[in-house]
Amino acid sequence: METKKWTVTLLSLLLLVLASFFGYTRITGFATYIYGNTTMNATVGAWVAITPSNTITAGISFGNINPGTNNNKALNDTTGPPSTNCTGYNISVDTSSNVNVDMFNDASGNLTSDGNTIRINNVTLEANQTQCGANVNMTSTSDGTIQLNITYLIIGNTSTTAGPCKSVPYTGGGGKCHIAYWLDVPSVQVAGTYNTSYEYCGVQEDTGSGNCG
Amino acid sequence: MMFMNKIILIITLIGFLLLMPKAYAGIGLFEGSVSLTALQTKTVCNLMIYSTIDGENLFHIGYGEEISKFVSKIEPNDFYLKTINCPSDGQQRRECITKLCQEGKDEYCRIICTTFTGPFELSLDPKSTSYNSGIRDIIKAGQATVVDALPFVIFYTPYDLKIILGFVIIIIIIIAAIIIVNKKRFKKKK
Repeated sequence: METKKWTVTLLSLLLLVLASFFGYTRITGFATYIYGNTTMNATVGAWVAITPSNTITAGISFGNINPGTNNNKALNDTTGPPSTNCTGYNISVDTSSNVNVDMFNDASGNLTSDGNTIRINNVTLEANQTQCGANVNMTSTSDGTIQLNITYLIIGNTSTTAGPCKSVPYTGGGGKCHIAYWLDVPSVQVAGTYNTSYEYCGVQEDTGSGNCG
Repeated sequence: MMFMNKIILIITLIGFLLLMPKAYAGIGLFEGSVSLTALQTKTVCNLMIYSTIDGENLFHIGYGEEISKFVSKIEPNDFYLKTINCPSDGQQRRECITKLCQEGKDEYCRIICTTFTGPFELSLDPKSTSYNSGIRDIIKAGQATVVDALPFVIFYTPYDLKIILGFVIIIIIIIAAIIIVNKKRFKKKK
């Protein structure tokens, strides 16, 4: 009988020791509150919406081009004929957005046709947030022209953190990113219809291209 | 006396269980983030999808690579939406979109529910780790692919290995106690 009593006592003690060892016990003291304070906060959710122009959703087409020609401007430009220095390709920040938007673009790969390839860096582009007009020339020879890439970069730049279509405002009816495209076709290029996928991404300002995928 | 001892043992065990900390953390949900513990499942309906693009377009919802392992279900997904017809003023536009969503106008707006599940991971010192990535809606509009993205964070806490060890020790102790008691009883009978 004595042994049993000891066994139970020892087991009980062991359990309590284990409880404190694993930090399961909490000793709470007595406290008197004279005054108290707390914080008050609210998180307002972000809204982001970008809208491409109809020329973009129709697809960026360079039409029929001869091999060995450079700076062929994209067609489907509603602002003016391909010979002008304006562009109808734009992406706007919808007024439902409540944050500024960084706009990125990339291509899924080179332009291909039946195993033949036009390298993606033969596509060049220029972008700005100013409406195409008398003071803005979007030409293939202007300083802002860059080559298209297969990773998401700020539209019109080779950076993920800066560029003409970074921080496009949601205020004032929503800002716009205007884009012009050109294509160089090597002289040895085999005839065919060359395709690739082109993607746009709008993310909350300063949250990075990683969110685009 | 033997009955009393058994009661003491049971009370001690119950006391031990009550003293254990809660294994599961409370809900830590706010916009753009969710808190999860191992094996915990949480469904969050915090995403509103609407279309500002002309025509009827296909929408796909996805999560970034870093957090996709926590995503077990996105409902609904791969659906068509028509262009919203709401005032252009920002505040009024958002109110109008919210109303469309809440009224269940599925052709213009969808509320997306995502079910997250915490993977089973053990740790002796479980701490919350944040996984930062994006939640995005990918729109096939004509020939173009357009992505709207927002940052999203998952705070994940692995399972506390000490709790499992604690249970194993308790079971061993109970078995040992039963064996000891039965041995004595068997000896007595002999």
